[in-house]
Amino acid sequence: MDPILLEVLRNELSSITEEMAITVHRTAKSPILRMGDFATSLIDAKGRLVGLGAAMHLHATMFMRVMPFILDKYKGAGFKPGDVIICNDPYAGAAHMPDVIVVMPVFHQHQLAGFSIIYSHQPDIGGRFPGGFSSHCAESYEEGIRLSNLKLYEAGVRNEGIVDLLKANIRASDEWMGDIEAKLAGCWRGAREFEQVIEKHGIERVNACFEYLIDHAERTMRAAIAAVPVGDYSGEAMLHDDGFGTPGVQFPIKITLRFRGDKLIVDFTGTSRQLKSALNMPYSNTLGQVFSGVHSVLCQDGVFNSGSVKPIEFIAPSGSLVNPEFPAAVGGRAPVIFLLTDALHSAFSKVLPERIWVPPDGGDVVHISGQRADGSTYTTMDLMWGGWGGRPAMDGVDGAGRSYSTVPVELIEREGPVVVESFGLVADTGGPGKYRGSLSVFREYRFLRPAKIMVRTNRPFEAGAGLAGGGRGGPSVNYLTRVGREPEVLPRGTHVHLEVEPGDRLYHRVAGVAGHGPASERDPKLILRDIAEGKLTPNAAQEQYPVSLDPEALRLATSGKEYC
Amino acid sequence: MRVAFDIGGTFTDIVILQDNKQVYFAKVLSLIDKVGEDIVSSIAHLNTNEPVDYFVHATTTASNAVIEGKTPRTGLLTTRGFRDVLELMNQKGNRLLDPRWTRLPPLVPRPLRLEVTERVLADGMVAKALDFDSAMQAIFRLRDAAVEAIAVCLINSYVNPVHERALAELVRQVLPNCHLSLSSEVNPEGREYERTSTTVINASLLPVINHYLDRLEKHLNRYSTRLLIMQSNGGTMTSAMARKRPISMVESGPAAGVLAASQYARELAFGDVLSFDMGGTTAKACLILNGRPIEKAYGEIGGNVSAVSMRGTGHALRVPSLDIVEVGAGGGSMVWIDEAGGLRVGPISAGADPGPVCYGRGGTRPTVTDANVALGYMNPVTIADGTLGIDRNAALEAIRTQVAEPLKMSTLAAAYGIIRVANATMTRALRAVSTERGHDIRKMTLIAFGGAGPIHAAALCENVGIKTVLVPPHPGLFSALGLLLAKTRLDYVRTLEELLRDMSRARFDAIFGEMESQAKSDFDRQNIDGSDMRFERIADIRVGFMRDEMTLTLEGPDSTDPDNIAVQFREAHQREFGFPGEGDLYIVNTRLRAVSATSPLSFQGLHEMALQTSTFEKHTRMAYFGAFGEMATPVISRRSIDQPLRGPLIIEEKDTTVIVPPNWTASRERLNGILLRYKE
Repeated sequence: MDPILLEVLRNELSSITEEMAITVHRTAKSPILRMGDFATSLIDAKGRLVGLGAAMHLHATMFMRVMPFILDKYKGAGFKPGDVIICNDPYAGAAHMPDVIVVMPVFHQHQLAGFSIIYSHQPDIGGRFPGGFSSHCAESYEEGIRLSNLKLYEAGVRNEGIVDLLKANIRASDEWMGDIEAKLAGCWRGAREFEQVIEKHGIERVNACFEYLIDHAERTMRAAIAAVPVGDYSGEAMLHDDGFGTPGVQFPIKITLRFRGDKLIVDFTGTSRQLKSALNMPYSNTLGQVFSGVHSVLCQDGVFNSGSVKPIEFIAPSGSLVNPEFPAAVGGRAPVIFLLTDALHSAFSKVLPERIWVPPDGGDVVHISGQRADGSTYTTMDLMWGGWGGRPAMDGVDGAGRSYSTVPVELIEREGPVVVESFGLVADTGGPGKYRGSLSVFREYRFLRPAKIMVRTNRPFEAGAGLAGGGRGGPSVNYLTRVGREPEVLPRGTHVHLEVEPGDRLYHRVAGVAGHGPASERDPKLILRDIAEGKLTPNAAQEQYPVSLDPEALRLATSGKEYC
Repeated sequence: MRVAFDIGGTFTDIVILQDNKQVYFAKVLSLIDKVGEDIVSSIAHLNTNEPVDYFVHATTTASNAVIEGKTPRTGLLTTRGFRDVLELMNQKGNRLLDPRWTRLPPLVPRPLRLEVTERVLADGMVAKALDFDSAMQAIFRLRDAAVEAIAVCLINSYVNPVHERALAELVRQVLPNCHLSLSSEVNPEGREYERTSTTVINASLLPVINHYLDRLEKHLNRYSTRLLIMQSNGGTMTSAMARKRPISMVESGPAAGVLAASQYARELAFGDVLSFDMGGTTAKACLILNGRPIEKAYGEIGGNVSAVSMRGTGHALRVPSLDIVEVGAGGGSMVWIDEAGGLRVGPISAGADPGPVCYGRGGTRPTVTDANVALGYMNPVTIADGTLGIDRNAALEAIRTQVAEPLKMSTLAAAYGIIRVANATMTRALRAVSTERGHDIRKMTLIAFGGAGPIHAAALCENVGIKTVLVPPHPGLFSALGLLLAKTRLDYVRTLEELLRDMSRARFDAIFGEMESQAKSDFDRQNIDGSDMRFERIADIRVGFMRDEMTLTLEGPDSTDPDNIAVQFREAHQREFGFPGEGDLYIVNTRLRAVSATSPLSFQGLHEMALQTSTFEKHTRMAYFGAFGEMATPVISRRSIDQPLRGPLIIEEKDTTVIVPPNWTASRERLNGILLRYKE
């Protein structure tokens, strides 16, 4: 292995995946893709992910998982230059069906040398509900069109039959095809650049570097696992919704981390059976959340590729909530993603309490569709993040998400007859702790014309649990205020559908995020800072923090004359 | 006499043009207490009675104030319900969920972000009138807090600024001496976070820049009251304008170098070029198409230095700027070995203090400069015109023990590896400005300058397939030289957000006409001769609800004809993305650039003034070139190149070194440029 070429190549591959990302981002049509719900990567000829690319672990895992399905399906027919494969099938490597993957083979001297790969969340996929991610579906068939690694292009020729089928079954299909075009442009650019890199360094040397990187990632992960004391550590989180809003139900997500030397077994035994609704986790997302969590806890600064996941084995009973059997619906799995991470961090905290933080939260959605005054239709998928939780030695970050951004208010108001009345942080909702979690984020909408709404609330019943003695954040709330009426609290549930009339208002609040460590140990200076910033009222400070504050300092903080 | 000065973090470069025939250069340490004094003492030093026509100045004062958090206490007035917009920064977080990540603190703390009751809708209609009591209450709070500046940004004010103007009136009555910026004047474009952030940055810089210019002009005024400031867009503005729009000068420093490169390329009739400016801590690249640098309408400040445009987590700053991409690789970048056994360079820099190991000033970790010294590229005894001693053995020893032995390589191979890795990082900047924007880099010429640029240029180009490199005269002072060439420029923007097919030629002409009269009156008010003013009309257009607008320059007789604009847009989209883009076209913004047409000076003019370059005896030293091994390499001066010479060569100059590897040739071109060509 040439250490110089290794670094040169890593720079080049990062540059290529970034180029792919910029291409997709700039050509994309749909607002959701514009917010950043997509990822790009490069794959070697054996179907292995060689670098994270412009992706999060969750999506990189989906890429790792879909490639064996593709290689297997075409092991006879093979690949030709100009082929394009398309996939969204939760039972063939993909996740929920609106996430559509596009893959393009890369060639060197007529030999298959690798693949460029992109997924993005598309605004629709046909099926019963606009958007394709409601929990109210009972079977995969209701969720839309399943594309099981089809060749959309064969040797450069588009399969018009597939295109006609898609156009006939998908809402706003022109915009939809626009996003596919954007991914094609990104894959095409990635493939071309990847070919040039191989040409420049030679396929053997490039492959040798890939082998080294994959081996190295495996060794690093094994060493990190081996450093954790052998033993079994469990964590659990509870889902309080069956997907249809039935009150009083609960379904456990249980994880046991079995550390066995340089091997980790992730055991989901004790987790609920699959549900009749669409709250089931597609298996690739289950793997992705585990890999993401394990990698970020054990080797945050290490490389992540197909080697990193080799030392991790799974016991995930078939037919369970985290490994459902066909034809279970999976579109509404987002709330379970967060609960799974809670359970994982809780398990880790049993063995590495000093290193484990409360994971970031949020990703609630208000999906609005209706008609403008001129009769044209619009769809706004507004996405709000919760924020970051308390960490060992650091507060969380108020209202920060991941790489995606929220939709600007002025953009929402321009796109459809909706007024956003307010958007911000809610005082007293940060999970108390030595290091507190993020405050709740809220938005209030006023509708100028009739519209259909779906509100996705990831934590409709209770906010996430704290670690090391930290408390939960404030709960999620949804209020609907009909014209001329008092505000009513909407029924609790992960996915709530409703229709609104002109003048109606909807208030949505994302749950606050939990704190880390006992509230009694919080530095009084930080409590006073939060009071001065209006993020904590003096009354709530008294309730949440058993800490005595200097009366003079408290008076000053409350006076509004302290400016941080 | 014209006086240009570029104040950087460590050094101030001064270039004085005397009698239109003689150029005087000086490099002095930047001492903030002495700002202005050093400039006038340089003039006094020349012992001349020639009056100063004007000063022209580039500075990092504005960007440093924001990056280092040294802006004064600033207040924000915004629409009720939106005070957290500034803090939430569109809710962007960290993609990899790094548990150590934290957000930049907001430029205005929460207690100073105050809400007033009012509302304007997206179509400009007033839904709720401005409530006088809530406005006065907020203004009194800011008065009690003794803020030095106030930013006003209300929702949808880019469509209808009526409430912002009314608020401004009230602020002026209560706080007549407080600095004030309105979003509808500073940046009348949609998207509330970006507009708020831009307005807040402008407001908070007003006291900083006014104070700075007061001090500077106190000294300069003895010679001339005419001070021009380089803007981020590569044009100059008067200091009077800078006092109102300090956001325009945030990227003042890097812009001057790009401007010099574009003018140099134009005069030598090179078509498409890349400017490459490498200094001590970073390398900067910018694409110049047909003599014009690429610009961007959006940027940010305070995030990490990165070639990667989508990961930004800095404060949004929407001001037209040259599209310069910066990466953390410079002469001082430190070398390390990562957990995968890979060799890494930067982004941490040893800076000037303690600096590289070879400076012998306490640096212990090898840097890029140490590798250049070890390889024999840089003078092994002294650099910087003899002012700085070099210890080559110390550099070799540091590389041997910290890089070569752990990686089981020879010391020279390790040093060469350091250069390759640094070049790989810089390659990302070059790609970010070219291939990532759909331009074929291999047909371009690289213009290399800055202290370290000409050392790395040829090897860097081999990486990306560029075959020609141009090294202008005085590469180390090139940015300051660029100031003397700058034209005056002002930018204007109007947001339309309309379907292109609903627009008419007459409507476009009326809008541009209005912006042009505004520009004329601004030029008049600043006493800038507007007789040679040239206008460029620009349109930002997007397809459907595509995220980003594309910018089109409208030229020619039918330039404002909507059909013609549509055709041009589809062609540009095809070029950039490989397909024409389906769907309705929206006209987002119209922009106007008002530029004085003639450059005050040319390189041709400078050349005729016989710029001095150093001469010395030709000699040889050993230098290492990878697969070619160590070679006895001639060390020559620029002046001695009178015919094309084959590499390897080392061309030593006062302020830098030009490395001509084997496989490359060097020749001297017009205007004293050195042209390097790759021979396969």
